[in-house]
Amino acid sequence: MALAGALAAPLVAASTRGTAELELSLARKPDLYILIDPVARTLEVKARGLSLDTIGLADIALLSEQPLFGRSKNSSIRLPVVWTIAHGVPGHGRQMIAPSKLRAYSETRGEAATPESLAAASAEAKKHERESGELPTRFHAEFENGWYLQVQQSIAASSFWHRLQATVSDGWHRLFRPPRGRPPALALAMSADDARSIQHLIRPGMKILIGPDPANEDAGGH
Amino acid sequence: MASEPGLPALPPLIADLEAAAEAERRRHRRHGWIAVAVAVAVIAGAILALAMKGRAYRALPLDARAVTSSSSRYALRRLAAYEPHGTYIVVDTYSNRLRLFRHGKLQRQAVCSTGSGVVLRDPRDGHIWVFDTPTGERRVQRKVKNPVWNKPDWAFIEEGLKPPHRSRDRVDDFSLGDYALYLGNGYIIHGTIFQTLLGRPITHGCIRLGDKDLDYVYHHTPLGTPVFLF
Repeated sequence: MALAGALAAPLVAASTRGTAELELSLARKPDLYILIDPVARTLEVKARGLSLDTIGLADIALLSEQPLFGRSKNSSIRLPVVWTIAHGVPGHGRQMIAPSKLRAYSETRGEAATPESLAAASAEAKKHERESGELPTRFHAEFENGWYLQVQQSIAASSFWHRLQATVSDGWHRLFRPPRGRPPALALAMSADDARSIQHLIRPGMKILIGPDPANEDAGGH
Repeated sequence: MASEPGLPALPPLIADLEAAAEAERRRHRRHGWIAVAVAVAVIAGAILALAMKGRAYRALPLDARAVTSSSSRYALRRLAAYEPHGTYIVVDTYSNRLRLFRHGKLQRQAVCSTGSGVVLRDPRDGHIWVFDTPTGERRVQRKVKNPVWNKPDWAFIEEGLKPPHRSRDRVDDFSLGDYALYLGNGYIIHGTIFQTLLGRPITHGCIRLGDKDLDYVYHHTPLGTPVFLF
């Protein structure tokens, strides 16, 4: 009987275009984009081809529904590829200022800045400060193609027994109900601080280029 | 001992009885083990059938080392041409750091303050302001010494005040500090009277610098300098 090591389809296939060709289309615009290099295991925040920030990835994997033995054909990915975020990271609880009513400005006209008023304003500013601890360290976002981007601190490998339990449970579920159909996801493992540092960039419209960094590729002839 | 005529035959010897009972017990045990084996096989078969039908959501390591699609030299040259040359500024809104580069080399790193992310709602019409520092590339469009701030509506509403009608009531000639570099759409790199709060995300979207850093950035940033914010 075939064991889990047998592969039904290649997980990663090469696209006909290089990473630089795809990145050109992104660098033409003033918008940020993200380059995920699965070979170097890095995530770069870029604009105009310039790397603004680089994050090391502890792990990178594809999450998808797989049979107990072999591999599902729908889990492969052709690289390099550009995907676009459709639904970004859910809001992390922005503070809202909503005065119920407004006083007429003339009532406070003539006030000059004093050390006391500056201190009060400073305290007020601190009150509105967004603490980095409030930012999520694990989050997911949906791509336009239906895949998900999942950011977390580690990606657990599942043992055979865990997979057996999961497939038996899912098989039992499928006897009585339609398949759960969880969409495939690109999972990135990074430190909590790194995750917090990029979550605000995972917004609708953000382009994510997945492929070897063109700076590290061998240039083909042309 | 032979039985007497007319009387029933004596039962078999006890040893024979015990042997027969043991044989019966062995047969029962064999049948029991067979039943257990069949039950285990049926259960295992059912489990295997369910496992073959089901799917587990699991991680497969992404090994892209086999991907060797090469980028053309033309594409690499074109990509390099898009990179900024000369002076450019990079603002990290998470760590609240501003870095000024010239020809790819870091010239100055400064602690700054960027947008708080706070949302302000106007009670009169429900208009919303979101105090984020924008991301992407902008350009220094204008530079001003001793800038004067024409306070927008939100600066009053945030304090619970109605925005004044007279423009002179909106004039603020101290909050922006000694210099201002305008990036468009109301976003500015400027100074601050809250120097102790530098390094924290507390602004309304602008980038605040300390006095010395602002002086340096102002005097080393030509008009048109790209500013990358992320």
